[in-house]
Amino acid sequence: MKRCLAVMLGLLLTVAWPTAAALAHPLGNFTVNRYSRIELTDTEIRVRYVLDMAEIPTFQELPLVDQGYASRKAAELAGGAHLSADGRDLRLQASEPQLSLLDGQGGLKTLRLAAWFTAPRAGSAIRYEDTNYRSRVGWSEIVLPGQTDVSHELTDYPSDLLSSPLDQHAAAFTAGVETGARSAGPSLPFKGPLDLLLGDTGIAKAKDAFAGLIDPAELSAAVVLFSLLAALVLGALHALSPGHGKTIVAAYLVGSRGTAWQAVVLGLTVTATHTAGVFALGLVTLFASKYVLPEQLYPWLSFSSGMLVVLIGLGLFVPRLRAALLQAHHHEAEAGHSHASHEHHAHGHDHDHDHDHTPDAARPSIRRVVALGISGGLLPCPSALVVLLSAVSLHRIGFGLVLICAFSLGLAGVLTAVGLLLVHAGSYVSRFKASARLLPALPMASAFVVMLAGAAISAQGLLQAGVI
Amino acid sequence: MWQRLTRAISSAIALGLLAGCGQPAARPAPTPAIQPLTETLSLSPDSAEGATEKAIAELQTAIRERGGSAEQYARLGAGYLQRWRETADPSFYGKAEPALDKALELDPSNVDALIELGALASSRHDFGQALAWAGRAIEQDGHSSAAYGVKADALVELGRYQQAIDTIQRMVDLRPDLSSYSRVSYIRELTGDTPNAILAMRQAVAAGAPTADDTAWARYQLGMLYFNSGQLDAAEQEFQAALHFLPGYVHARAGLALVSAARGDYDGAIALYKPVTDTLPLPQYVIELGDVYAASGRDDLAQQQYELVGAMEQLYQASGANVDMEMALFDADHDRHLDSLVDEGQRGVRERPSILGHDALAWTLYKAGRYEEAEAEEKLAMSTGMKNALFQFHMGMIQLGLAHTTEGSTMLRTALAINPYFSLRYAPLAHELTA
Repeated sequence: MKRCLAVMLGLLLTVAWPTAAALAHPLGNFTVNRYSRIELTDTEIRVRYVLDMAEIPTFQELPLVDQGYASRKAAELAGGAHLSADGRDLRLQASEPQLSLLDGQGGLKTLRLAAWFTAPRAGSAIRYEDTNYRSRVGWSEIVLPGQTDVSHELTDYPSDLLSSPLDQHAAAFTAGVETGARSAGPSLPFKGPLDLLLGDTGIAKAKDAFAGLIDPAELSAAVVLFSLLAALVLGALHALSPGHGKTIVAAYLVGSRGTAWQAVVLGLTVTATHTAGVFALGLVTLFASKYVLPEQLYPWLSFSSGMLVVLIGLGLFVPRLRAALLQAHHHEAEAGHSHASHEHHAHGHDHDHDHDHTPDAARPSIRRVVALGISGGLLPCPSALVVLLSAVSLHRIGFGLVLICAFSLGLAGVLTAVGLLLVHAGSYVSRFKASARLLPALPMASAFVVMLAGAAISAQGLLQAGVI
Repeated sequence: MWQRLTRAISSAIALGLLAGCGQPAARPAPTPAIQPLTETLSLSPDSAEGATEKAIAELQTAIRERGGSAEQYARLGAGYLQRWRETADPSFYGKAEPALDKALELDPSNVDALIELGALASSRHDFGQALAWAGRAIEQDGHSSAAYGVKADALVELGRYQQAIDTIQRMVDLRPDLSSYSRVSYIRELTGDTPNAILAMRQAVAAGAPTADDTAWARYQLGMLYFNSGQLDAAEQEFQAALHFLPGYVHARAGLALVSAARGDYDGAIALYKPVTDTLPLPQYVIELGDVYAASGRDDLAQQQYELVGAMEQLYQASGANVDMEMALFDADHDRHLDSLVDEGQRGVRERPSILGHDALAWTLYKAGRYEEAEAEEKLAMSTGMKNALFQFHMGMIQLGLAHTTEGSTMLRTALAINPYFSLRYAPLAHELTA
């Protein structure tokens, strides 16, 4: 998608590139390249500074070049090179400027200026930043004591196919007071917003972890096994992140005083729907991408499944509300009876006739459990979708499907475990006599939570769609 | 192409949506005491750069450690090309071709590599070659929208508009997205349907992720469509929007400069242009800056800019790049190389027999006083019905040269009606001649 349009941009951007011209500047004819090498002596901090301009900037600079240009320019560059020690700025003094104008491409010149910048030795936490020509395209290298000089003072740019040009603007290191230099790698602090999002967050890691599984260079047995295991674990972890039907499962089971069997069914249904949803959305994505953009489609899917959950929540809430109102009458008539009823329940009998005193609406039938599980799992998880789409893109659909199944298995395990835990906890709760009065409210509260969760999912969808 | 699309889609989805269901992101501690410069210009957002850079670094490592597959080399080459577009740093450009060659060496039928090589040939203005690569890519995968895109671009530049329309139709049928909509827009513009061109470019913008540099580029194009039809406010709004999503976006800055200059705010325009030409000295922007200097009476500074363009021309010639058409127009406008001007124009139209090529040749012929030939060429340029103020102006001047005073004045008026700000150099002249 990027590429197609970029061709048009490329048309505009056409720059001269050297065909066979040996004289051409190796980094293209409008780059401004900078090099700083920091050296420590007993008394001084010295910066070897080299500026290398290609043909076009040289042409722009030439009107300024006269007798005093070299020392004037060196002083200007020293002003743009910021050195500090222990947080205090050190003023760099330029000396020994050497200017040369070399023959470049098309009968034009290139400009090279080398100089020494020095400051008295001070402090130990040294920071260096080169702000000269920051907005110009070009090689930018900082060499700290003990580090390799990649371009040899901008005389020998690496032409390795597998390396990118250096883009170093700032560096920090600690200078040992007696022993000379201890160096640290240059720090490259300027990160874009996406970098921040992608590079340093748990989100990115989770994405990288699971989606990365699909793309090992070779599929050895060990890799496959590891991938399956990793998918399983990731699925389990994923179930613990908010918003995957877990809240709904929890709210429902607590509210309806479900049984272990129902917890298992609910966990499995959520997972099965979830997995089916991934497959379905994957198919829809592949198919519909001809007509709509999936990144626009997803929020709406999110919205509609959220609305579905709201409806189910509403379906639970209203009858329970009615039942609660009814029960309130009941309690007035037969005070104290409810205790027995709830203790009965706590033992986990799931025959309907054991629960004559509990309104039907609050009682989870398997059909209702399955329906809820479906609605809870309807929201396919994007990272699972990423795996599926990556698998498609890498022609490893089978592997992708297997991975997603493993992922889902992990998810199912945790969801079911959570469900069982809650069933257990629910029966624990009901043993407290003090809380017995609260218990009739619990089904309603849980139905309300289901509704809230659905609303949250819908709102999230709308947010992503840019509607709100 | 599915590979690329699905990958793009999946990462877009992952980015947009994992944020919703994952853990809240822990912001990394800011690196102490390091402040980004306030006035940095970029060709593209840090965000896009970050993503491309990351992809490139991963591929470099993977290939270095395990040896690369055709697929990986193709992706690396594509990454280098993309990075070149983002930064204009030619060292990426230089590495793209060897990487793509390597991909084809490993798998001669690798569709991605074929498509990227086509894009590379296009960027070199070798449109015949681009067409050939696109053809091979389509042979391998008849459903690759990107391959049709490369083909369509080449056809447009070669002036084969009917075929281009068919190709773009096929492309948009395969995948109606930013790439295909923007091409729909361009072909509509070229064939004179500016309102619908604007509509299609709007759709292109809507189809893109707001902060992607492709979207910014489409917005810039949309702004230019407005500008070229004289709607300065709408144009400015689009350039501002592009800058809003991608602060420092060079092309949008140039667009704003163009609007300022059109409004007569020359100092404002110069202040906007200077960082642009410092960052990315594209001939187009350097020429525009020179024209602003000239319009504001600073001829020496204007001359400096034009000389810089001359230096670029020397470089293009030394490297064998085919920019005859653009240079012919520039030289004709600035009375440079008058003796070889028509040759330049003819070379340009031979290599790019598009309406733009015919227009450039017509203008060189006019400058050489060969009005009748110029008229014939300009008629070819106007044959698709493009609402181009400059075409109308050129034809008007040619008609005046032929002593067809009425026709000439009418066309100059048409030029001004299409876009009263079509040229800092020529709009005042057109006013004067029709007054």
